[in-house]
Amino acid sequence: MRKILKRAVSCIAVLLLTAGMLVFLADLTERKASREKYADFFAQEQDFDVLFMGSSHVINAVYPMELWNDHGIVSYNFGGHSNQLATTYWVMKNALDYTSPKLMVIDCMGITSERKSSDAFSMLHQSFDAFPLSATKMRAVWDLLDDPGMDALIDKGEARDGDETRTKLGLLWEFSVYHARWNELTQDDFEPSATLEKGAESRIGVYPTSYEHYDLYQKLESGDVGEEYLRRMIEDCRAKGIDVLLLYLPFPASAKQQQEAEYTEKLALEYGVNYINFLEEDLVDYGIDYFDADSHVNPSGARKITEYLGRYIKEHYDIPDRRLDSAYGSWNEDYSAYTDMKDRNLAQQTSLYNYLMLLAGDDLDIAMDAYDPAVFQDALVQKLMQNLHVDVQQLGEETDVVLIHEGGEQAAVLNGLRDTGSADTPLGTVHIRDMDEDSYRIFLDGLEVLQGRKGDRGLRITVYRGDKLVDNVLFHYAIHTDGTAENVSAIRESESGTP
Amino acid sequence: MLFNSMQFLLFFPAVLLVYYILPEKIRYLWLLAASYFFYMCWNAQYALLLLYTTAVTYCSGLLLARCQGRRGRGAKKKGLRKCIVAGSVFLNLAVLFYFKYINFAAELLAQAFANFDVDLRIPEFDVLLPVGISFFTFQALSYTIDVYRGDIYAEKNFFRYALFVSFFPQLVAGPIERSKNLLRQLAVPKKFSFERAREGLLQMLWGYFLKLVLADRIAVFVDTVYADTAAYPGVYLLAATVLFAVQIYCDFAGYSTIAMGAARILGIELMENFNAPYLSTSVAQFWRNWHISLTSWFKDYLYIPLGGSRKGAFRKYLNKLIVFLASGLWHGAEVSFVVWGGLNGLYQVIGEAIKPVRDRLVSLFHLHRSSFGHKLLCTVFTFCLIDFSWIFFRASDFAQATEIIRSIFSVHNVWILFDGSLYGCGLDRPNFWLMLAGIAVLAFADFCRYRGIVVRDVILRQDYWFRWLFLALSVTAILTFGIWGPNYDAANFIYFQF
Repeated sequence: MRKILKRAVSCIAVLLLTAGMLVFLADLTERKASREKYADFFAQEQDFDVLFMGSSHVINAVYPMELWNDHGIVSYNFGGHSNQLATTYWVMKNALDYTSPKLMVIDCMGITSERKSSDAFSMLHQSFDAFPLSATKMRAVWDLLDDPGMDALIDKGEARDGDETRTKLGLLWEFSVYHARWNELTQDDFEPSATLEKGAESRIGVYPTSYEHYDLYQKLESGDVGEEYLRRMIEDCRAKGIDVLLLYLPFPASAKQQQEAEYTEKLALEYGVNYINFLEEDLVDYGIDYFDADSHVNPSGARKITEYLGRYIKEHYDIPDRRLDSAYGSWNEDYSAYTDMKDRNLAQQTSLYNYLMLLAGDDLDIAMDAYDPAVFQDALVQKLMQNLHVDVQQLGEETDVVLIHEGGEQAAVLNGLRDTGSADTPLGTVHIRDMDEDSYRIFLDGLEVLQGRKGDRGLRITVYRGDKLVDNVLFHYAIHTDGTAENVSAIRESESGTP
Repeated sequence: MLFNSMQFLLFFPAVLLVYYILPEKIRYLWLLAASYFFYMCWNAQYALLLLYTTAVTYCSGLLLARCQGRRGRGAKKKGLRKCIVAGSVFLNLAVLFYFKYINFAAELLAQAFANFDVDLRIPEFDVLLPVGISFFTFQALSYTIDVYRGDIYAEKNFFRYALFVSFFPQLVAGPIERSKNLLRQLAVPKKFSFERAREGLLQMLWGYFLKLVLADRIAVFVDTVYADTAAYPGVYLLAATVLFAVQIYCDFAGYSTIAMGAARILGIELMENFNAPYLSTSVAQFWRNWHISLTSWFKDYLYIPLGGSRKGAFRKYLNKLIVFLASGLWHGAEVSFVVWGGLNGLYQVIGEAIKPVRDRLVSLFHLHRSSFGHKLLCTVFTFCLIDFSWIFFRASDFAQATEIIRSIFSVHNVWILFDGSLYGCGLDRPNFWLMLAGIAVLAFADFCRYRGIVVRDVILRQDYWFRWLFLALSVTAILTFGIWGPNYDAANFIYFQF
């Protein structure tokens, strides 16, 4: 008996040691994208009031931290790259195991999709890895991998090259995939961090695109697998007493997608839920608010959509303002970290286009000193300045200084300031004063807003968030004969030696 | 079902559990069912082939026993017994021939006729080679011959005999067991032994290390280079060829070791299949240590019946060549396999033929055959000979093999060993160095074996905490550094194709 006991202890000890080591290694080797996206979601004990569901359009278009700052809405962005509505359904089901929101906001793109999931399997990992193994997760995996639409796509050779064999095991026991990452571990694997955007993702870039409105003579009669899962989402939410808001986010939609957007309205009416078809709203500027050819909005576009949604939600739903709720005190710290991140992003930009795009819609005070105002002839720069509510008609050869308050709430263009030395603007009185032979300063109502150096070329921009100087950068550019400005360099204060 | 698949990791514990719960008398029936299930996981229909081979050899055994039992009629009886053996051999080899060699034979025939300007058009047979057919056919034939020789009694119990042919740990890639060893053990099942299970488990772990960490990692390098010999000439090919020698060893020895470990946990001892082969100091010794179950099979059932070394030097050399040509053919229906086998036979014939000269040189230069330096030189030389023959084994065909040899000897790019170019052959720097570290571990283990040290016993003699840590770390290391999982298309063991 004693011998049997001893052996049993041996076996259990070996099993426990092995399990412990495997758990540690599984944690270490895991690809961190999913964990980083959901870290704040799992870290919060209190319920979220609003969840945003959908594809990458949602990730890039809705900023929960801005909703918090502007309206006190506690929300999380569950959009997933390349998610089909079936995947979104299962993401929602898994999320609902951990929180009970008051409102579910669902992007309806893809109701005509025959597939349940992305053809890039790593995207499914990003959507599900962070969810602990549970009955819901297992049901999700079983359902999503039973996907005739996807199988047909693979058979036809139209699926993207698989980055991983599509197996249930890979999603349920991630170590079976990630153990091979032992040779690519970085500091981030040992010290993982959370993204600071509550599931959202800012993608910085300016990709001019356009929207073509199609006359839809042929109406969509029905959706496909996508519609089936959208219906399930609405019905499940209603069964749990969760309000549903349907969206069709703005992007250069094809005729079929415009049909989808129109058809979604029918579904919304059928279920009696609200629906915003952003394709019909004149909200984003397709020339400057997009990041890439795949039609993901950049922060400028996202802030417009987020602001619109924030106001809409506050007007139509009973979502509490939690800004003064001590239980959500950590959100203020999170917001502070989030603005620091935005400031860092801004201070890292070397492209004038990206820089001007990032300034829009943010709580920033901006002073621009144009040594070479020819840059304002660049069509894209003009659009981006317009996006900052600058009257571009006033921009010209004589423009010396442009002042912008609160990311475009108010703006003033000062032409010939260097000759007059001072000017009155709606923002206040502006003075320019030489400090010595080399440098000068610009003051607004006696407060210094810009330090410059004589003899500089290009466009100097100084950005403040409240009293904090975020960036002081000098953009150099070359003006082509067609009027376009090509970025040559961006020199920061410490690099240029400006006082 | 592969040993390195998730199915097997569920299948084996389930089989084990039920096996030891069942009464001893019927355990073999459970193992038989499990073995057929194991085989049918690959292709259910081909289980009929297994059954066919089993039935033919079982009946031949019974008939031989019956003939042996009759009194008198000496010459007639002997003739009848020979007919039975010949019948069994023919019926089994005919099936093997059809499934494995029919297209090869047709191609050879067409080529032969083409030499006489006769266009012989033989339709290609769309035949899927049954996994492990060469292994179980040879195992079953050995039974018939053993009964004929009177080395064993014929097995009366059909199901027990069927288990002998289909015993799942060694069914598809050996070791090719002998009836004397395996049938006896199947007849007397052993009680569960903790010590034996622990040893078996350690053996399986070593097998998995060889297969998942080493063989499949080396395969990435070798496959990359051999897939594009023009882009990877000279020293690339030399490195890949040297590594292939290690890959095939790890792959095959890995399978055999897992098989032996699994069988040991079930209370059955299978024969050793490898014994530090690359430490051999001659080609003959290499073949005594490499794929021992096949080499000994050919020795017992082909070389000795051909006359062995009893009929003079010429016949001895001829017999050796025949045996190795047959061994090459056994491995695959390709000219390159035959060349590989012939080359290994030739090495031995030449080695023996020039033995007097070698002895004379050793004596002339006062060399000591037992010195470390001499042994090392012989070991390296033997490895070079064997590795050269592996080129024919690994190449896609004879033409590619000759192209590879030409490239190795004509392209001089030795600097690729030093400038990091080797990291561009499918394995990045960490993986490449992990592979080398793994090979060092293997070399250490083989050296211990060579010196008669059983590493497994050394580990099991340590204190409990060391044993626990060792086991846990081994499993974790194999799972972390092994090439497996959804990113990896579960690679067959190389010897499955035979």
